[in-house]
Amino acid sequence: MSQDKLMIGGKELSSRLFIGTGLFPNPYVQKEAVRASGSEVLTFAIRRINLDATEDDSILQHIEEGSYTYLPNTSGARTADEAVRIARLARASGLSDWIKVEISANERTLLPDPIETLKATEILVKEGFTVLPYTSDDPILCKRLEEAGAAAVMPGAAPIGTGLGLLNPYHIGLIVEEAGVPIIVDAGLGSAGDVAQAMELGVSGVLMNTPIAKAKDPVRMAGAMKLAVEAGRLSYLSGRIAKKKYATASSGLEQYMIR
Amino acid sequence: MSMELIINGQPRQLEQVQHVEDVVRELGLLGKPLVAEVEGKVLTAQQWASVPVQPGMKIELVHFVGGG
Repeated sequence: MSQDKLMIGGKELSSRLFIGTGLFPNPYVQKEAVRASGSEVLTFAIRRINLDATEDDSILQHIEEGSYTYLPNTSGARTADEAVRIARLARASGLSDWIKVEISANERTLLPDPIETLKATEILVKEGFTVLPYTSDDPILCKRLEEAGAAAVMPGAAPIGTGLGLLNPYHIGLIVEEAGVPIIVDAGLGSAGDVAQAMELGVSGVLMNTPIAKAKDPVRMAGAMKLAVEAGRLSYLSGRIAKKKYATASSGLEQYMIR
Repeated sequence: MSMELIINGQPRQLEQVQHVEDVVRELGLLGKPLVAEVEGKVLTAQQWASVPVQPGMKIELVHFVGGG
């Protein structure tokens, strides 16, 4: 696996697991879970500072200094314009020019708005961002985002936070076959099994938050997800056997059978 | 002299503020990781000391929070 690196936006990554930083029970557990996951890419959101709260609740104070790549998201945006505004704010922090475009038009499903997502991707690529759009698992749309200059394309497995796993593995497989940039499955995964399944389809990585942060033991689950990513990746690279309808004996050679 | 500014969508009276940096300091946020946007224009931290504020200006002060 040592040569099997992931390249995104000119950055070489050893870990194919991207972690979101929301919903953890406390900063200590989050820090330990991030460490156990082996992740090198961390996602954040951008929000107004609460001027009436005295304590500093910026997430950055809870993140260990390390070789992390920051992937701020545009969550909360409902249009391309709102996403572009959030992206510019994120970049002005000086921490990263990576941006996860996330534009939801429906409060109940939080499913991405594909048209606004494509628009925002086009604008932000022109402004020099490294753009990773979170999008629907539509093969044509994913290709269009790649053509717009996305550094990686991130189709969802299922709606955010549902843990339903890959609702359309057929589409994810097609997206991978057509892709000229890394495909990262983002959102909707629930378990290590889901992660391995996605990786076996040939995706370049997965991004998750809730399945780790809301697990009974987030630190242990982070370790499980790390192993699942590696197992799925190795399985994909090794080439699984074809499925057959009937049995094949493992010991062979009918004529030496003791009868 | 006090000045009313619209900060994060709420009107706020601040004393002795001339530049964006003064606003950030008055709110006790200097040195914290944040980004300022003034009248829709995103500023780098280096610009805070030179961008003047005027009554009624809309200022957004944002930061990173947990998210996926």
